[in-house]
Amino acid sequence: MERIPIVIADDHLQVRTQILARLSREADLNIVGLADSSAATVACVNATHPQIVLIDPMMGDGMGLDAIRQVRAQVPDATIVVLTAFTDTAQKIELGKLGVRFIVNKGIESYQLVELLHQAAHSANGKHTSS
Amino acid sequence: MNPFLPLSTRVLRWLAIIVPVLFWLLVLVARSVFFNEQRSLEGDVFALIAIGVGASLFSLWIFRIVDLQEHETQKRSQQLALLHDAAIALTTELDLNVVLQKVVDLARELAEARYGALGVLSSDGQFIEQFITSGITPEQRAAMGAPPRGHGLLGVLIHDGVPIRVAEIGSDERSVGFPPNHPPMQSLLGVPIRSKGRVIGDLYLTDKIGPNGTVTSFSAQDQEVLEMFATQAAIAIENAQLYREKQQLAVLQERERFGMDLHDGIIQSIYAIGLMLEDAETRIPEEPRSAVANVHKAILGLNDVIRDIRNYILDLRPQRFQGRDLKRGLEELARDLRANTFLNVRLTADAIEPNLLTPEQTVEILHVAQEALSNVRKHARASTVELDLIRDADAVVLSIEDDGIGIDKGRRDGLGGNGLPNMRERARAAGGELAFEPGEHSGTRLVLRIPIAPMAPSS
Repeated sequence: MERIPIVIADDHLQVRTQILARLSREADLNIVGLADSSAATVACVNATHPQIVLIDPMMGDGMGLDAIRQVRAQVPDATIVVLTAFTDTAQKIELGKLGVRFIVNKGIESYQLVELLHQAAHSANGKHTSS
Repeated sequence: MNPFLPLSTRVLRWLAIIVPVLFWLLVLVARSVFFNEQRSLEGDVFALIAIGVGASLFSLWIFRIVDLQEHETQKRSQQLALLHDAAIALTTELDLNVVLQKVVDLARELAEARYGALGVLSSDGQFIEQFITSGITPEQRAAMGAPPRGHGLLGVLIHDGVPIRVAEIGSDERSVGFPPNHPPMQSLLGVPIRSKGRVIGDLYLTDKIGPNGTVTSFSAQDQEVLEMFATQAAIAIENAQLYREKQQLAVLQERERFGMDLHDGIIQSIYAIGLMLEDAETRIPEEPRSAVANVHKAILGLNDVIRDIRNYILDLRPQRFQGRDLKRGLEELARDLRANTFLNVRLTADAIEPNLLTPEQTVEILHVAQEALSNVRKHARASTVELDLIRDADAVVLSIEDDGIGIDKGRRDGLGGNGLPNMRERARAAGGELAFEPGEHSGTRLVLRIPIAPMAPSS
């Protein structure tokens, strides 16, 4: 079965560890990389060419949005899914401009996150767009 | 270049006498040469003397006029030079409070007045929001009580927006008299301060000091100069207000970001803990022991979060008050309060000699101030808070007064958990004592008094 390659980018250690643990239990998801900073994210995505980049742009280094911008430019086939503590309208608009169509808040139930990742993977294949 | 310019008035004065006399002599000589008339010596001498006297009188009279005019021009020139200096002095300042004080101090100098005051109007232009004085000592100011609300002659200035010049305040029919403890005032000159067509404040001076040191009335020239100055002042005030808004925005943005960073971290932690428990949930049937381990991890994580939140509530920025001087610290507190509430916050602070208070005392005083302001924000339902830092002869006194609902004695000591006993502790640690009084009309006044060795004779 074709597994969906995913990079997890989040600078919070526990969050990264726990998401990795949870998503590893899904048979059709394949975690190919972990990144804990904006620079690491871009490098990792360039190296592994995942289908999905699951990222929290609120990085301590303040360059999260920049990382997304670079990923969109360098690996346009990767679908960005933003998973973050909270977003305000201004941020949503910024992300929209960068072509990010999937934004969810932490606190979402894990099975919902998995469903969303599936949705994102399918939309990348040009089948349909959803928010 | 005009050949007459280098000649001083003195020389001209004499020339005015000598030239006509010499000219007459010349005419005399010419007559006797060309006309060979029979002349009487006495007649000629008499004519000569008459002309001499006439010329002298004329010279005296006309040069007196010239003197007076020159004097006026010189004065005028001096005033314009002062005005120029004043304008420059204003442009260097961005802090709104400093600008306002400078405006009224400079205006006083320009018109040689004993007292000066500047009223800044509220944005609806209806009443005076800030009132800055010059020439009144802090004690007089305190004794006078609340600043004017814009009645009587001042009201005319505010509402009509035209300059007002009165020789004798008491006998003007528009005057409503002075409040108690107000120093007596005689002459008045007031001008509106206009920016973009709107009156943003009024500047007024009283008791012009004449050349012999007594009180006289203001002249039309004084009014003209003050009106010109008001234009400068308007620009400087607008500038400072804009700058302050910009700073407030920056503070807000920083706090917002800081709050967001903090909340972000806490949400992250809780989310991760949620995932841990979710994981534990699925492990319970098959691997109960590892489930227990996960739950344990989750509990530890939660304790960390609780600690983070507690730190946030208690002591947002623990380094906040280190290394601050008292005045700057109070200004920061006032600025924060203005930026985050609708309170009208006024701060006046005497200069405190650099080593008068130890850093520990300064920190304690600032903590007390912060606590007091926090109480005002939370409980007082006030619209104005006034902070005054006073350097008395034998003490430093911090007074914080609000115009809110006040606290009755019974509830005072039980205020909000540890708030009040904490403040008293800090006051004691700073070597001083804390007292509460009812405020001017309503609300509460907190007075923190720290005794200091008596002031050395001032220089």
